[in-house]
Amino acid sequence: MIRFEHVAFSYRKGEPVFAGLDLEIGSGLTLVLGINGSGKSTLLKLASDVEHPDAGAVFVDGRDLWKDEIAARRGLAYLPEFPDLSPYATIREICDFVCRLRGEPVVRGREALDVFGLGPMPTARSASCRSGRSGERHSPLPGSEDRPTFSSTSLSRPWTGKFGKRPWTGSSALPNEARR
Amino acid sequence: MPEFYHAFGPQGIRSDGNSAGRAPLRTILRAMLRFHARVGVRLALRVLAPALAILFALYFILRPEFFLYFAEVILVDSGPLARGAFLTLIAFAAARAASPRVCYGLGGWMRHLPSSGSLVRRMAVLAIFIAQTPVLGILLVFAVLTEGQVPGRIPVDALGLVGLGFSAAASAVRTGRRRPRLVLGFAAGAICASGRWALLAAGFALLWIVDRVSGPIIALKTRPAFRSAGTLFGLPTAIAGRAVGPKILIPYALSGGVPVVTQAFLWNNPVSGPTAAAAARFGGTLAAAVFLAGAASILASVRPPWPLARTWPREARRRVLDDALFLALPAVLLLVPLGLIEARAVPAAAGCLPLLGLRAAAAVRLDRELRFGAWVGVLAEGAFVAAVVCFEPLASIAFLFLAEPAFRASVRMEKRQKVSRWLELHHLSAGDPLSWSEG
Repeated sequence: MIRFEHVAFSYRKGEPVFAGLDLEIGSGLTLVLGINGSGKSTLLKLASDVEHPDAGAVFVDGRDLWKDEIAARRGLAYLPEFPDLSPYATIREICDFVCRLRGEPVVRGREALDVFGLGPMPTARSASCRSGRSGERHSPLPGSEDRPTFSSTSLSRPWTGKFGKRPWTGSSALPNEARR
Repeated sequence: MPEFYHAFGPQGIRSDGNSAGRAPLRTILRAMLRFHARVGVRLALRVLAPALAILFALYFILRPEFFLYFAEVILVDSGPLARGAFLTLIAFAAARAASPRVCYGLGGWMRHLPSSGSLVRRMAVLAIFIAQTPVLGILLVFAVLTEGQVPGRIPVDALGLVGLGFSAAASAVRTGRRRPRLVLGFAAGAICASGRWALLAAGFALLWIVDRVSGPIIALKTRPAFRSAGTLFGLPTAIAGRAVGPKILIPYALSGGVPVVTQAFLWNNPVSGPTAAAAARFGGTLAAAVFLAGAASILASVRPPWPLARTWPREARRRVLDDALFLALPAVLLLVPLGLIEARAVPAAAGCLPLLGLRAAAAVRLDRELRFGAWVGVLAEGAFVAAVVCFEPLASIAFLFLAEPAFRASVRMEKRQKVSRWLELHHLSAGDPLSWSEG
């Protein structure tokens, strides 16, 4: 369960996105709908720790996201709207790092890469997955650059909260195993 | 066909003869001119204006006589080509610094707009030229200072500097034909800046050739994949190291001058004992501060916050600690020359490193819309710490204890960062959190 308590947030002073937000999100699938600029993405960013609330607190299973940081985030997985992986690390390095942080065996990261069709290019960077990109050591795969993000996100267990803005973006390009 | 289409030729604005429903070409041209001119002006104000301020500070420290002598050596005593080559090196350095900030993204999304690659390149050249104007202005002031010795030279010098600025800018924009662009650009700049009317005409002719041989602007290519050896100190440190790369030599070069000046001071002044130790303490601590300021500024610009990494089960304090170690450990090297100058000064300077490293890690997390980047705060605090340690070496123990609250403050700043807030690009490649700079 995710709980927002009196959360206030703004990107710039004097332009609040949330002011005194109280919200409780239970188990199961929750869809957040709203017009452009209503704060859907910001809500996900606050729930997934990307942004720190200016006031109030966010709790995941009763743990404060910014005080009990490791325990609260262990079960979180966030799939950002845009692929957000460092160009200064290879896909495998990132998966291995996430595995270590989540206490999973490194082999699970390799499995995730296989499932998302990235097994043949483990030393490539996320940019290599962009189709049509030339000059890379590995030939680009047909499909989406979301794949590395998908594979690193899939390493989260037990998935207390799994968030994504338009998580189906690029999913048509994923292999069948990944879609299942 | 509008007449300015012919002026730009077939490489200019795209036009397929079916422009119904599109913006008029004149409007597009005006919009692009305005956009790139603003980019250039902002860059000039934000990046090169501090350099100008430093120069003015040096003017008052080194006295006008030094600058007059310097201007005479460059502009009067040396031959036309030596003078041109020297001025071209200065302009190339300024253009090289401005180019990645101007060109970032121009080869990508911007290319889908109804303008050709050549026009985008020309606009980038204009932006880089405008960004260089503070440097060209200083060179013009030098020309005015020496006007008494060579009367009537200012018009040719002013025009030459314009040609020089455009040559340096044209050479700095990335296009397909790198070698001819650089060689011809350098030659054009050197000839333009030679201060002779006849050569000036030849320089502008060469500049026209540079424009013709340069193809359309190209997108920045990604580097080849890394070797998977970067996890020795942990992936975040490896990412910081790879992002900064050889640029780490810049703060080393800047800070390395401080021990040299300290040694020169000790050699040329009759000081010994406690006074020499105090000077060495000041120099050593200031060198570390200069290094940390430079390294923090580079790290802040090439490695923006990584929003996705904040969702992983890793504490904010670890992220701060990673950066503090990444910045402070290389600064330890600067204690070696300090030990050679005055070994007794090393412990006091070393005691300040944890605090300065943590303050540098905090500066990386400052509001990224700061006008002067991360380095000003670190340098100011470092200079203060150096001054205190200079007068009282035991103060370094207090600074060691102050590292703990500094660490907590840095963690607070790390948490409070608005990492996904959109910021403007072009003058600061780290503006958009999704724009990892690879320039």
